[in-house]
Amino acid sequence: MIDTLIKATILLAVVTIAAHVLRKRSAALRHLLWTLAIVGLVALPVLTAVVPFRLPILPAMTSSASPSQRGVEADRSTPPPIEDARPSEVAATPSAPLASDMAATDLGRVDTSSDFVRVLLMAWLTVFLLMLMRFVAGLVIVNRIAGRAVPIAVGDENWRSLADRAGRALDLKAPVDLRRSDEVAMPFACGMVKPVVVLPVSSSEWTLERREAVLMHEFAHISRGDLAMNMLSHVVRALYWFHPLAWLAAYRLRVEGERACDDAVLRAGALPSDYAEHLLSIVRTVGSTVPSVALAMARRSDFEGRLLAILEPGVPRGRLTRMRAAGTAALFLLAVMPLAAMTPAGGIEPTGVNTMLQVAPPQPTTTAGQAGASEQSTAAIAALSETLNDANPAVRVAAVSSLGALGDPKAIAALAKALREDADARVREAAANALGEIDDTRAVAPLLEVLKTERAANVREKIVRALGEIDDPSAVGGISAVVKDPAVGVRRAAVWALGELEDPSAVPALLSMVRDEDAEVRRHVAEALGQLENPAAIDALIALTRDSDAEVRTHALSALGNFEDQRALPAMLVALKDPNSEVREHAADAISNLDLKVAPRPLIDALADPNREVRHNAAHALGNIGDEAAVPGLKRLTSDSDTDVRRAAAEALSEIGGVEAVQALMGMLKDQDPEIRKIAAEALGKKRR
Amino acid sequence: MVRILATLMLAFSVGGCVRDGNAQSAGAPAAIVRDDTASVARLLRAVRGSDPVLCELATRSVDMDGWWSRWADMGGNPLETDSASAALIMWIQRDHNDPAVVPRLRAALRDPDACVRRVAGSFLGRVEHPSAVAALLGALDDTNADTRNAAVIGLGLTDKPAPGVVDPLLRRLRDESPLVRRSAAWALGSLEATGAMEQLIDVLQRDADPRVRQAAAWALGQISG
Repeated sequence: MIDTLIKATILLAVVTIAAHVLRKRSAALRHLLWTLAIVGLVALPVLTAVVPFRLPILPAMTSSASPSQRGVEADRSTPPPIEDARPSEVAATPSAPLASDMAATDLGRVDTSSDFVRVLLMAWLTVFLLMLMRFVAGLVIVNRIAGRAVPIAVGDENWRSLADRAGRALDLKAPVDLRRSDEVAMPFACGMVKPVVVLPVSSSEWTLERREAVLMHEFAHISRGDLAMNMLSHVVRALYWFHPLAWLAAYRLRVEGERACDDAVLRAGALPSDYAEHLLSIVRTVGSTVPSVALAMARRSDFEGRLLAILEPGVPRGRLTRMRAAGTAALFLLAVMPLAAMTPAGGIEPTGVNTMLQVAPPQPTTTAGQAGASEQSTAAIAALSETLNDANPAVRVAAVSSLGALGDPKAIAALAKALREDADARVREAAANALGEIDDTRAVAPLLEVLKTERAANVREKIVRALGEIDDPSAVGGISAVVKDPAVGVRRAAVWALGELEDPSAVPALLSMVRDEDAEVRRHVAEALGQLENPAAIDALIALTRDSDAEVRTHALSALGNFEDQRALPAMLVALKDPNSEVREHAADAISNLDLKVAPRPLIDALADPNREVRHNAAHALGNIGDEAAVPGLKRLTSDSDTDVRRAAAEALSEIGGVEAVQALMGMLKDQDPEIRKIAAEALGKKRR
Repeated sequence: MVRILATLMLAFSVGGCVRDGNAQSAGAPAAIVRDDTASVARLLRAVRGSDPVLCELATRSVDMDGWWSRWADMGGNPLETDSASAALIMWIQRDHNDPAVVPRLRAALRDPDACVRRVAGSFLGRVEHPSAVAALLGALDDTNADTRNAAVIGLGLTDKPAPGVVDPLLRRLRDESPLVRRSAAWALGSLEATGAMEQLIDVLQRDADPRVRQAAAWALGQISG
């Protein structure tokens, strides 16, 4: 029993993988694959008994039913779900059962005497019968609906000629019974012997194109034999109810069947966008659902995927020729044969396990080599430190830089000495750099000490930068002392370093730099204040949104965006009218962080901004706010020349929702950009849930 | 010619895009040159009346357009596509792996002109082919110091040390010419030749020439860092 289960799992896993590999091929091919999987699940136990050879490769863990239990099953006249494949029971086996098989069988007999297996069997049987009952009930309901439905008059020329045309196009042998019922909202096909297509009452108001599309789709189901396969998949799913892959197989079979029929409609010449619209309006009609025994035209599950497949250009939509289908089926059978022939082997040889799990003997660790390397680098540091006394400043600069590149804290003392004492400013500058590169808090004290007395501005700048690299909060005081340094480079470094430290105690120093004469300093002040998110900084940042420098204004706005404080809203709205487009762009972006409920008028007006980034950010912000007042403006953007703007508009409309937004999204199903079609389809699929 | 080349290297350093390999022929240590008035005056004096290729190189250095790659997506720098010099420089900067150019360059390593020898050595280092490395190794023991120097620099420019490259370079650390010794130290650092550390420490502590010591100090930072 267990080995059949293993085989079924292998079969389903292989088909799942194959279907994934073939995901770019036609749906008809994948449908065939899943069909074969379903058939294979039924055929496996039968084949196992028939295949004239054995492959003893499965692990020996057979626990087969005892004869008495087989009797119980037989009494209940249900087919044995999973045929036991003990070779000893296969009469026609030409080869003698292997000794290992015998052993396994004996083992199995011992196991089955336990109650555990009996309980399992009862559980399986109960669920199986329940699912079977549900299936039969579904059949009865569908047949009753079909029976009560009124046949469409033979005299209705419209329907008749359309049906004849569709039947001819799909090589249907017998005419299909067309009926109309007020009990359903969705067209469906049913009936295995005498196929019936049941249409909803609203079908009388359909356009010719929609009638044709629906008939083509349903007739394709009939001509492809989907109705029979649907029944079989229900039975198989009931048999293998405990197996998740069997559910997946039944689900995929259904989905691929629908897609294959969609492809048939498209092959017949329907426009993808029109067909998508027909499907969409059918799935959006509210009404009772049909049991899954019947093949309803559209279901909400996987609906988005179907819409996308329909709209995606370049998807292969071919049907399978009889020859190819037969060939694939034969190949499949050939592949299933050995699977069926697998029998339990006598366990994995212990030696085998050992070989597999054998771990290579632990390699002698290369500690010796590592020690050698670190010894060598210690020697290099010693030699380079000594070189700091070299008479030539260029050599000293190179040595200092290399000590920084080595990044070893052992060099800190020598570098601090060079920073304090070297007569050449270039060496001191390089030493400050190197200390920043080594990035060790032990260097903070010497750096701060030299910062107070250093006379060369370049060196002071490098010291402050190093303190920023090391990022130790104890440096805030020392750095704050140089925010009024006469050299602009030092001030720039100071504001950068304070931003790096991200320490709340830096806020007063930063606020004192808001009116610095250098725009880059002010820019960094805005940036750093945005990182610190200290509420005391809001007023200063609002003042910076009126700075003479556009970049400062930009940074102030994105900093304010971090605060999520609505006090900043008026300044942001003013900035939406800034002459600089980058400022407007960041203003829209900052507003989207504010968690507003009502869309401000200037933001809606920004949807008509000449700059695409501004339009994009405004659309995005309005989507976040979710106010329906923005829909008319967003609707205009659905025909924007810029793809990113249209995408943002589609996303915003999908977030806002409502009748008008849905209408706009319907229009976007025909957009040339596949991403936008996807957003629209997803949004429309979502709305019904 | 040497003067122009030296100034060119100055231009490189003023532009802020020193390529370690090129800095070797500069007289002063490149890293410390500042953009002060005297340097600007020297730069302008040097480029006055120089030939088009050198002018193009100098201009690019000043443009800080060192690697030029950012123009690639836009179909090349619009300012530079319309002259033969620009086209030649564009070609120089491409990857090269055609061994057909090797014999010509091997001969050029022994050209009477110093600049030709130097350019040939560096170019061979950029030709990704074993025959190019072989040509450079073959010139390491040349009687002419300039040729040896060009070959050492070429080897330092190769992507990674080919087998048999490090030992000949280590021998060049004891070359009689300080120029060659300095280039050898640079090349070993550039190749990150771990086995060279001990001898580089030795050079750092004992070499009489400060430029050699400087290169050794730099190389030690490359190798163990």
